[in-house]
Amino acid sequence: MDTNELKRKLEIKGAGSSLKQSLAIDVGSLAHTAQFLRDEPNWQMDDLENISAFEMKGDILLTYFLKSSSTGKTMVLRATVTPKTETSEVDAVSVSHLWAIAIPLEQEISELFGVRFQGGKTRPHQVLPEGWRGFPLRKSYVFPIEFASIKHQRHEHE
Amino acid sequence: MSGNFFSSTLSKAIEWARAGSLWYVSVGSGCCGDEVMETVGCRYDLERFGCVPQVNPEQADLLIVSGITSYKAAPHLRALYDAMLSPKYVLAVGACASCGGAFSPESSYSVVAGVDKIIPVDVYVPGCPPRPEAIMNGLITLQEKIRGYQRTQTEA
Ligand code: SF4
Repeated sequence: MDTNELKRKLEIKGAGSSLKQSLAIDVGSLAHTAQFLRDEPNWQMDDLENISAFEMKGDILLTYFLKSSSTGKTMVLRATVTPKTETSEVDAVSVSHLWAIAIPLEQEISELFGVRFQGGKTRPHQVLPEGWRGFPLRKSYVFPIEFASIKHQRHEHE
Repeated sequence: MSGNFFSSTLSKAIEWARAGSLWYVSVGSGCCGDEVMETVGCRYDLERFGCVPQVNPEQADLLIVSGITSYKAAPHLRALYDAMLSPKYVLAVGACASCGGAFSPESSYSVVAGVDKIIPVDVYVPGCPPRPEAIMNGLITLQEKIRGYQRTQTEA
């Protein structure tokens, strides 16, 4: 069954036409693929709706939600990066030169997940306070005992 | 008239005036902020207790803190408190300001477990969020505290 047929069947079953084209790509080719999709006349993905990240079994999955304002098409790109250790940073490529909205999204992901977006405009400590250690949304993250001399637990014995 | 008699009467008068003119700055960083605004608004009218909103902490006697305080915001809250002139009072409104509330240390890495970890708090108003009546009750409790009154304790 090809994608169009699946889409038709879902529409008949009342699931709507929410089916999106989805591409799982190598992180190395992310910038090229994204640029192609933005500039290709048939796709014209001129809008980046969101970048989401989550960690699964040691991998960090980056998901890019694209939309074309002229053709109305939507597309999802997914790339996976794997940090060497649970606490080490990992490299990915930035798409902020294609969509400016990627700057704050990459900023958040870089601080919360420890992903370095090469060629991007991320700066240290925009989301988390200065002096923060670790990446809070990693599964291996351990809550701080104290930060800036403020004890994290309410009572000493906890 | 002895000096003692004079000074104690004067301090009573000062306490009376202080309790009846609590000018405040409000820090609202959560949903409780809406309840504080409601308390200030025309329906509950906090001004009838002598509470006038201020924008300059140097002219305020009371700091009303409502909502979540993150580690990033903590030094700014401390600076605001430090900028107020003594005597100064703090009213912690809601569970988040009192102890972290729904964002307790077990569930959040970034929220301070109560503003009393940063600044001294005089009265805690429990609730998530507390109703305006509860906030007013907290304020009256603070006024009584300033005047040196003690409430009758009810049996648990
Ligand atoms: S105590 Fe409840 S209502 Fe108030 S700020 Fe916290 S979560 Fe919101």
